[in-house]
Amino acid sequence: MPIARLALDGLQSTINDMDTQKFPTVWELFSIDLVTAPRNDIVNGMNYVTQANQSRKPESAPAEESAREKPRLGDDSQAFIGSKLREFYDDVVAEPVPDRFVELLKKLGDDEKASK
Amino acid sequence: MSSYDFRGELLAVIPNLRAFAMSLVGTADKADDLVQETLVRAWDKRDSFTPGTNLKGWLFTILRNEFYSQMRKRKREVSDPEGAMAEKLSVHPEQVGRLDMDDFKKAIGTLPDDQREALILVGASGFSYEEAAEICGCAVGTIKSRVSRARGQLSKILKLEGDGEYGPDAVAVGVMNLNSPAA
Repeated sequence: MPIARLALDGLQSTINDMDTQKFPTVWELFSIDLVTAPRNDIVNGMNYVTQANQSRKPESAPAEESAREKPRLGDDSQAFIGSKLREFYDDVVAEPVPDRFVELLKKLGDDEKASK
Repeated sequence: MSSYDFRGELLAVIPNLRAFAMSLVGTADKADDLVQETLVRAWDKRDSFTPGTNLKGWLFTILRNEFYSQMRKRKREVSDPEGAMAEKLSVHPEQVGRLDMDDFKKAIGTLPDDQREALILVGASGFSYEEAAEICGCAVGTIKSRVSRARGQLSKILKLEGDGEYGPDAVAVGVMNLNSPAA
């Protein structure tokens, strides 16, 4: 009964689709949060380059995506770590050079001149 | 040194040296002491630097050597018991979006030195894997694996993936796994 079998399969997969799309599990609710949170961070102007960046998904319908497949938390967490890392580093780089170093370099230069 | 402005070049790299030092030692005071020591050494050895080559890499190498020789000298009051720090730092999923920089710094602080420096050099300082390998005096593959382990460790500490999605409560995890389509 190949035809009846096909119809049954079709019905079954329709039901499955409805199931997963209409009733997100607790797990999915959590994972949506996790996926979108770091992404907002990124949109807010952190520039960094990682391979994870390329795998970012479009903003639309994260719920539907996570219903279809396990969301790629790995990639997003790597993007998150990458942006935090640069933020941490660039914060320090942006600080003005402390006077002690300017003075130190000046002194080293002066000592050199004096010894000549 | 002819007309080459070694002092000016040193000055230009100081912000990067401070950032690298901060990632190694964690506090601003110690980081700046390390930078100071690096500048003095660099000045003493300036004849061994070839103008036009990678001054930033050269200075990072000096700073790193200085850091490890200081570490060896004060061998070593406190060592973190395995995982104790990571456990203290565990963050619940609902907090991940609001994770602030202090938490992130603490998390970086729990990484082994070799992993942390590799991660910073490649992920923040803008060095290639090859340059990072040269600075650390190891193989490129070693740098790659350190970076990868560092990222994995940070993900774990920050609860960005794995079981940590559910926070530390093992019972809740079990319940939620029952509802999970993939589990």
